[in-house]
Amino acid sequence: MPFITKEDALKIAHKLKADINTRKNKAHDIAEVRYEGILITSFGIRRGSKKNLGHDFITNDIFIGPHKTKLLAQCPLSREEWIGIITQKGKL
Amino acid sequence: MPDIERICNRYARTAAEERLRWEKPVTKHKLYWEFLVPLKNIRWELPNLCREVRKPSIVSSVEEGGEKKIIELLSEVINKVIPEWKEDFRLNVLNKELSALKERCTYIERHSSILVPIESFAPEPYKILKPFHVVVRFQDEQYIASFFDANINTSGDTQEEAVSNIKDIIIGTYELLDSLNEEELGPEPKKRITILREFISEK
Repeated sequence: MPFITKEDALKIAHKLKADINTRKNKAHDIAEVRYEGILITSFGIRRGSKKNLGHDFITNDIFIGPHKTKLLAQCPLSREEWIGIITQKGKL
Repeated sequence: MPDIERICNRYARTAAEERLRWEKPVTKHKLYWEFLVPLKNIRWELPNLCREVRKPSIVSSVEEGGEKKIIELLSEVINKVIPEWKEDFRLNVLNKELSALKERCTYIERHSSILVPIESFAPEPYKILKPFHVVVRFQDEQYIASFFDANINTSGDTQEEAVSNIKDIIIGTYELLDSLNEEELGPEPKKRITILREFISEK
């Protein structure tokens, strides 16, 4: 069972206020995360009806570890806290 | 001789028959042999039997020199049986080690990373300026493919799907970043597009 599922990835995209770029007949939609109009990062969301499609890879795309990624999906970590973390890492 | 009767009951055809034999000293040697020999096929009982025949109550109940005889016969059986045990034990250990090694090999084969060269994006309208590699690794029941230089990642249920997916996301990322002005890109997307432009371009 993947640690981060498609459901989690969609929750994270929603929480980070990402724009979902839907691509017809492609394997992924692309979530574009912006802060004050600037693209901070983007990550792929695999297409498919299964909610548990693995998305463990997005931890790299959003610059935080698996545990914090899960917290982001589950609520305890907010978008503002995430912005704080990635700013410290020089990603913003 | 309750203890001997108990032993005879275990191995003899009938307890009455064995008791009769025990009561006749002439047949004692033959009797020992008859109940000891089957032990070769009842190996797990031997240690218990050894303990039992060494009980003073039994020893005192047999004629003089009987204990020595029992030990000799037991030794004879043990000399035949122990090497077989050792061989069985050795084979069991080897079997277990072989199984463990097989499992380990399967684990390593499954979990080790592989480098996959990307040499074409066909049928997409993109060409590769210089070939590059993506890393595919198994993690949590899925294959994760990464193009580490540009920090582009995805996954798939199989290695092939993961590779196909990473090609798709590389192109998707390239299209997205290439369509934006530089002022709209943060540090990471800027780095990504710079690297991607080294490797791919539109046909």
